[in-house]
Amino acid sequence: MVKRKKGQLKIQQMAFMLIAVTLFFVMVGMFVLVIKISGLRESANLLEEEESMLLAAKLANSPEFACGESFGGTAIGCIDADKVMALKKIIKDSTKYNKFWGIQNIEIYRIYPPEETITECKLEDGNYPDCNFIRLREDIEGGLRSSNFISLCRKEFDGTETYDQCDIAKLIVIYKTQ
Amino acid sequence: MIKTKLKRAQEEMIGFALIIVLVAVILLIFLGFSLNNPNKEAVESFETASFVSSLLQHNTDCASNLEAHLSVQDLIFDCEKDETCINGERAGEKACKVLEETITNVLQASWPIGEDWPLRGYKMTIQIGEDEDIKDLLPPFIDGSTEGTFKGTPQSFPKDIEIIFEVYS
Repeated sequence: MVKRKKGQLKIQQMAFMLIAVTLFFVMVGMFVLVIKISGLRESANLLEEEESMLLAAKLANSPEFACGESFGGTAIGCIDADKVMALKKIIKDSTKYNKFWGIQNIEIYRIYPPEETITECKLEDGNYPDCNFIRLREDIEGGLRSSNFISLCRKEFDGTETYDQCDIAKLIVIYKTQ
Repeated sequence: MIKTKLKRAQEEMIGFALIIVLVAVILLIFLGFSLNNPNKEAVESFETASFVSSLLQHNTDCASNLEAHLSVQDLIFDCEKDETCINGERAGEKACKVLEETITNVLQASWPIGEDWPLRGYKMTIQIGEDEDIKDLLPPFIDGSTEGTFKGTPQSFPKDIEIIFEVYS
């Protein structure tokens, strides 16, 4: 009788031990899984960042932005500001370009000549070219940014002749993280 | 009897402690891997190359008989020939002086340096000539610290002009 009770106790002890060990390994497994999943999310964000960086580097040479031969020869990394303003109007009036580049927004910020305040170029205000910041979509805020230097060119008239005005600007690609 | 039980209990305790230590080491290794993420570079190489390219296209206040606003690239050629601005806001001034001032101002506006910024310093050198005849067109443009790792590669342009721009982070 005593031996049977002792045996039952041992079985019970072993069962508890097995449950405890199983629970322990399940918890360790869950911990590893959480770390792995967060790593995946992070690598997806890194890829997104890399992609936006490459996009910032090559966007200036895409037909929607590039100066082409309008400013004397084919300049690399040259953006036609007049074209960008026209594109801004198209984007405002239609949804054609909403998912065209697969990013949230594109901004252009003129760095030189420097100005004390940031003035956004708005279609309704008609303040272009007396502004230093262009946002393709005005309805989208936030997001992570990748940028690259570009030459922002436009045609200017000084009273006697038309000349090319090229300023130093930054093209900013805004993207969303996973 | 009691001695044997005590010994067995001690052995079990040691085994349990060993398992805990083993699991702790494994967890620490996992943690180490998960926390060891590559840091984003403050500046990428293509940024310095793009900057030089946009700098060369930038218009200055110096004018020639043919162009109302000479670009930095044109001004480099004029500076090499020791020419003077003929028209425009800077008429009568040496092309080299206008070039030096323009580049200094552009660099200061484009690459802010200091405690609040990720960059420690930069150095830009404009060289002209071939092989052994290479000389600096202007004194190097240096700001901040130019020690440690940097981004940037030399870029060659027509008429044997080479611009070396290095950004230290």
